[in-house]
Amino acid sequence: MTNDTLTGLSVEEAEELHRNLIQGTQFFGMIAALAHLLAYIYSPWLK
Amino acid sequence: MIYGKIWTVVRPTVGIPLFLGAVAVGSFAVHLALLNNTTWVKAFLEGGQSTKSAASSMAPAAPLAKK
Repeated sequence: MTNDTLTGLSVEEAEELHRNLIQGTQFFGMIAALAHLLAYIYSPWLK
Repeated sequence: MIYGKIWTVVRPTVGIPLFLGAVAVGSFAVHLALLNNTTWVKAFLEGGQSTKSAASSMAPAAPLAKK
């Protein structure tokens, strides 16, 4: 029953994968936000 | 985790490269547009003014004197 899905992943596996994807996205987003803050401060962007 | 069940429907071998690729292509497109539509990204990549002025100050004064 656990692997009875279209992709063959169980719900637990799918949610574990999704947790890691969300965590990676948050990590990327934090670094990108910091980079954009620095770009805003040190460039004529939006000024 | 909300929406986690998507990977029971979309194969991760398709969905993850699609997701990361969309982020990469979108990001590249925005930065390329900035490079082509502003002056200051080009100027930044060209090098700082301090480097240019330092380089020109290091240059010999003779050509200027000839003018």
